[in-house]
Amino acid sequence: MAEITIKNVFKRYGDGFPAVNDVSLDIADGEFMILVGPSGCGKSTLLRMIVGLEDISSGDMIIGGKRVNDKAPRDRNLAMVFQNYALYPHLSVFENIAFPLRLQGKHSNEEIRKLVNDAADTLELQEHLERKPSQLSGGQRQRVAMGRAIVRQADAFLFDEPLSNLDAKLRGQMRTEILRLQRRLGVTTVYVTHDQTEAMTLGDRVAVLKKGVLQQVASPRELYEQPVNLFVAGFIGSPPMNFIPAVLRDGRLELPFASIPARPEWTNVAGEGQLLITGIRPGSFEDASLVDPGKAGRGITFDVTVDVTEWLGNEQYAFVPYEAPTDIAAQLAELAHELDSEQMRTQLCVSLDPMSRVPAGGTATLWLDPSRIHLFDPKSGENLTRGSAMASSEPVASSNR
Amino acid sequence: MPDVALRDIAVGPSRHLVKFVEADGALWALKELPPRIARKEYSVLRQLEDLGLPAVRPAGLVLQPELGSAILVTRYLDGSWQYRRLFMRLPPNQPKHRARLFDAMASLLVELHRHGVFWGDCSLANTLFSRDGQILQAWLVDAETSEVHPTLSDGQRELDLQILVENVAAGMLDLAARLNRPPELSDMLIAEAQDIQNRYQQLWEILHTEPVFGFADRYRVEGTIRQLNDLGFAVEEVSLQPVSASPDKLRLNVAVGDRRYHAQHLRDLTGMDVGEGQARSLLGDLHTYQGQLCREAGHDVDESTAARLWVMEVGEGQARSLLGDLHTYQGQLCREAGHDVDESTAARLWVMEVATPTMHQAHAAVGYTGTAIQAYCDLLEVRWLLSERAGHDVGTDRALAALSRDVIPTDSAAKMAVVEIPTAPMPAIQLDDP
Repeated sequence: MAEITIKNVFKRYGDGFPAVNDVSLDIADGEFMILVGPSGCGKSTLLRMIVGLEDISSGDMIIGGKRVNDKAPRDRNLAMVFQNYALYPHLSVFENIAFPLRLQGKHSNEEIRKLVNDAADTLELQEHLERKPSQLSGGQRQRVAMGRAIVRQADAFLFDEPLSNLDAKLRGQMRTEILRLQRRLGVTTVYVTHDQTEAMTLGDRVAVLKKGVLQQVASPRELYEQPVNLFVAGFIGSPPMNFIPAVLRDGRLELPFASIPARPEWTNVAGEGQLLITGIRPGSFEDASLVDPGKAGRGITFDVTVDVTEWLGNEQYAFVPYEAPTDIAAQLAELAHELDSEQMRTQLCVSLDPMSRVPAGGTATLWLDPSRIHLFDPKSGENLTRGSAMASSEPVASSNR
Repeated sequence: MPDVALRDIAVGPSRHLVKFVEADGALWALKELPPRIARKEYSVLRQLEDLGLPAVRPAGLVLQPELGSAILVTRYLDGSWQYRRLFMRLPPNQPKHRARLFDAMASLLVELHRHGVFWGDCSLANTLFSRDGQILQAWLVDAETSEVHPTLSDGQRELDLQILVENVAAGMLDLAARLNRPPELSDMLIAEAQDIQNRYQQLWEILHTEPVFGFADRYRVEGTIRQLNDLGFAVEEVSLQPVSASPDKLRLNVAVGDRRYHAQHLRDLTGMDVGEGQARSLLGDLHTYQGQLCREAGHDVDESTAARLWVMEVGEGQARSLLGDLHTYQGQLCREAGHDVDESTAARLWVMEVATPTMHQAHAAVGYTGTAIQAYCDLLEVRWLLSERAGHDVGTDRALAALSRDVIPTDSAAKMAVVEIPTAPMPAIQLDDP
């Protein structure tokens, strides 16, 4: 078991391009840390620097209190899980788990038996040890592969997009297995993914990277509700947060489709006439006719023309196009590009109750709680209302460690 | 895509099942993958092709957005086979054959690594082999986890090697279990798999060493180049840099090229295009022949002249007279020009006279399995082994007879011809790992 400390780490390639740019991150002993971001953000490079596969250009990599910059991968005592999950059909489950130990040549048969049995207990494979892999279910087979990592008694587990080449069903199963295993063993874990469902469901904390720069490290809940900037706000959440241009004028926030009385937390951070980008999650809207009367008074209502609706059974989305000033539209397109997103940024996505009968092509009356609105500086992308939006009054997810 | 019959062949543990298709007179391997992985693998395979590395060649990518998947199409590697096929056809416990296999894997990994390719999942199941003279050539066939970088760090190489050793050990243990080999074999298999690291390190060091020597010892440059050439590597560039600390010392830096040194040399001499391992065997034969010519002619015969004659030698009864003609002609030329016969004539004659006819005989002796070149290399090996045993040269005819009756040493490279016996008809495969 070990904590991992990353201090001012840089990775520069031959052309001077910093693939990892001054990243500092403390991963606590036993913590499940996710590294997430679009392709090219440096998350895999950072993981490879932890493992020892990439040389570190500058900065310190400290594992269990020891600086490991110059240590070979095998001397770091880390396990890359699912690096190799081929199962050997003619070897018993026991041997499939034991063979990395046999190869190390450090353990007696007695020790190997104990390590494999302990791993099998953790993985609930005890009854299957003498069977062949073909007699196991899909999930059990994946657990055998995890067993190989467990018996190495590594100080930390590292996962590099382990589920990316599995089909959706197996991916779901595996996510649960990985979480269960990590909770049981309490081993420090670093997990790289580009999939935000994995990021949000697995991690104690999530580190979001963009072009080699660490943007925010926080619990999944905090990332969702208190993103530091446009990038994190746009990256976390599906469907993504709506970004809408707005102006503060005469004590009101003017949006393309509504005018809202300004709140003190807005006027504290933005001046009269200032152009802003508002961020509103699709779920912050409701069909005005279905709003719970208890909270209806907290919000405002406005009419929009709905272009398209998507009814998915358990949820429903309505899309509302709007006009945006050219410079803002260009900036939103640039952001969409950075996020690897194909989302059209000049239409509003509204999540509605599946019971809602909002007609496509017709007018709908929507309800919105203004306290759920984030304001971003269009130039820097910084979240001006971080810590003040309503999210802060809701309980923030406690670390589920 | 044409309407073709697909057949599932369980070829080993795999994440994604590979299916084989015969279409347009060729065999193709199809693998269904998530589109992201398929695109990545296709791109890596293309880069490997551009780098001229031994890997399966990509033929295309079929995207099926409606199914959320993609199909990667690669060319079937002619004459290649899986490790299982060899060991299932040989008698139990064949350390020499295993050594050839592991040498091939170590060489493949070194070739990939010095071109910046991190494999990520090197295993016996992800490798195909083909015969190349007395050695084996290994081919990468699965690049799902591979990455191409400008160069690899020591850490990347070390991890790749560690993965290789683990996978090879497990693959061999699995096969031993499948063939009901005694468990005592396990320790030996594990030790052999671990020894792949040494094979890899030795080769890597030879290719990357930068020896420092005194100005007076410049002859060592030639020694270094010869060592690389002997291993089959062409040398592209040699540079000598003074060592700043001691100006009378030089540091040698060699840019190593493709591993086709002997193949290229044989092609220059004869026009024959064969594998590096085959070229090494054939050049050995050619040089023996050259020695014989020198004795007969009573003067030096250069390599290219010998090459041409070698090709002609075992021709249809005309060899001796042609040789006589050529000797007369050569003498005439030598007198007139004051130097040896020109190279290209001699090389062409060698191909016609020696190599080609005997090659066909050797190919017939093995029932036309594999290629004629490989059959000839096998013949050369068998002749050498039998002669060594007999204490004198047994001659081509006896070697041909031994080859045709398959009474050859079990651990000879020639014995690996068992992999080339066609598989049809074949019993139905038991899917023990569906």
